[in-house]
Amino acid sequence: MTGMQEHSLEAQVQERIEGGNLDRATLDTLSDEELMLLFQRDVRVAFDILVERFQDPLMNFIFRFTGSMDDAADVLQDTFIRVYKKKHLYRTIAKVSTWIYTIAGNLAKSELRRGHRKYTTRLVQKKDDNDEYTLPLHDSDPLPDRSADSSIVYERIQDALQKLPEVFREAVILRDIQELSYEEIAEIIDMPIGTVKSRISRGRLQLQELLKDIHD
Amino acid sequence: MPDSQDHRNAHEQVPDEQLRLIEDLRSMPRVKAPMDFAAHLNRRLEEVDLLASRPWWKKLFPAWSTDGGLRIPPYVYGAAAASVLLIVSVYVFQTTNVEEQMDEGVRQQQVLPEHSTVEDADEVPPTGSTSPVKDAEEGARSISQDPTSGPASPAPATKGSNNLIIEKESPSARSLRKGGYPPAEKKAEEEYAPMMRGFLDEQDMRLQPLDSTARADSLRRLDSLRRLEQDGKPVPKIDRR
Repeated sequence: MTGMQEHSLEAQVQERIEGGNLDRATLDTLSDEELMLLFQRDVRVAFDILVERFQDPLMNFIFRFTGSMDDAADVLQDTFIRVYKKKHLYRTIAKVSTWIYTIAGNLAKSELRRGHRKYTTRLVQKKDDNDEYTLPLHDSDPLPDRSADSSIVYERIQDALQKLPEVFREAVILRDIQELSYEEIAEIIDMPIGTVKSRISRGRLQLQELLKDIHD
Repeated sequence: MPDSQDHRNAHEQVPDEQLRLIEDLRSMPRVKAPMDFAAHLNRRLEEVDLLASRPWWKKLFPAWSTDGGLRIPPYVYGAAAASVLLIVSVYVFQTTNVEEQMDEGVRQQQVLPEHSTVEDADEVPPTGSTSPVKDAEEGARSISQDPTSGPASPAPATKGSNNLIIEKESPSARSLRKGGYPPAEKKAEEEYAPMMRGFLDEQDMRLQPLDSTARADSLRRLDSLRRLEQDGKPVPKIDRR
């Protein structure tokens, strides 16, 4: 985003505030960056919309990274609280999504290093338990046997992901699970695109090695 | 991020063997945030707002949580422990007589060991006689009769240097004197100090200032030599080097 675009975006947001048309339906149509600028001007509804937009993708990212539902829920809350408290630090030169992913990634790494929660929540176990976290899956496969096979495969993949080094795991999740572009990943992990590609490639190779019995 | 969807896979060269893996990764079920996530988050954000609106001195003591229970910040435990430690230290210091303890310490130093060791004796200055105690006593007598005519004192030691034991007291010794010397030390003060002074004059030796501990130690050794001699036991040879 260039300086000119940044100024025009801020002008638009200022106009909206002065115009007073800040109803929910209008705000839903705005981009993440516009919402963030509105939130910086103390429009709380803008923050709520950002939470709605990002809570599920971030939850998925953090869960795949940490391997624990409890940790993921905690880190997700901490991420939004940090966004809430540090809103003045956001600059429109960056995308809101990459800024939030960066915060979430850093908090998830800190959580893993703290390592005070040793237990992990397995995807299959949670489906059986009547726990607080039900996993609403997007998998619409109606066949139970295929679903069970898939669960085992997904569990194996999740286990393999946990065995990857953090830098490779983060890159692979962002690319192959979250389906972000190389440019966005480079911005999130603050590395050149070449490094991002290298990490993704090496991460995939290691994953392939760990999952060779599934794919053979 | 809908704007990144179109270009994200545009020019990616993926080896065939990895296609299956990428397919599996992309088809993994998406985990969603807990149903009550927004409610939990809003509750925490209210707390953040509440804390931010408080003055700084109130932030140090976040009093009551929203549940009505007392929430004690971790540093309060440290502060409470430090306060208790301070109170106990002051109490113990005030109820303990330090001077009495010091007297007791000196008394214990005066208690002689059952068997004097050769190492103890080695530290006694050489006299050139078989009985260092006798020599010391003789020296003391001579110096008490005529302080300026020491038998072998071409350059007699200055009064100040030889009297350091007695006159230059350490603060702890001074405090002991205030309360009166214990018997053993008083005896040493009266009997052995003149002996030592005469002996040192005879040998043309100068004393270095001693602290109270070293002083008591010297007197104790001299006393042990004296007792050995009185009991008829062999006095250790003196190393004249």
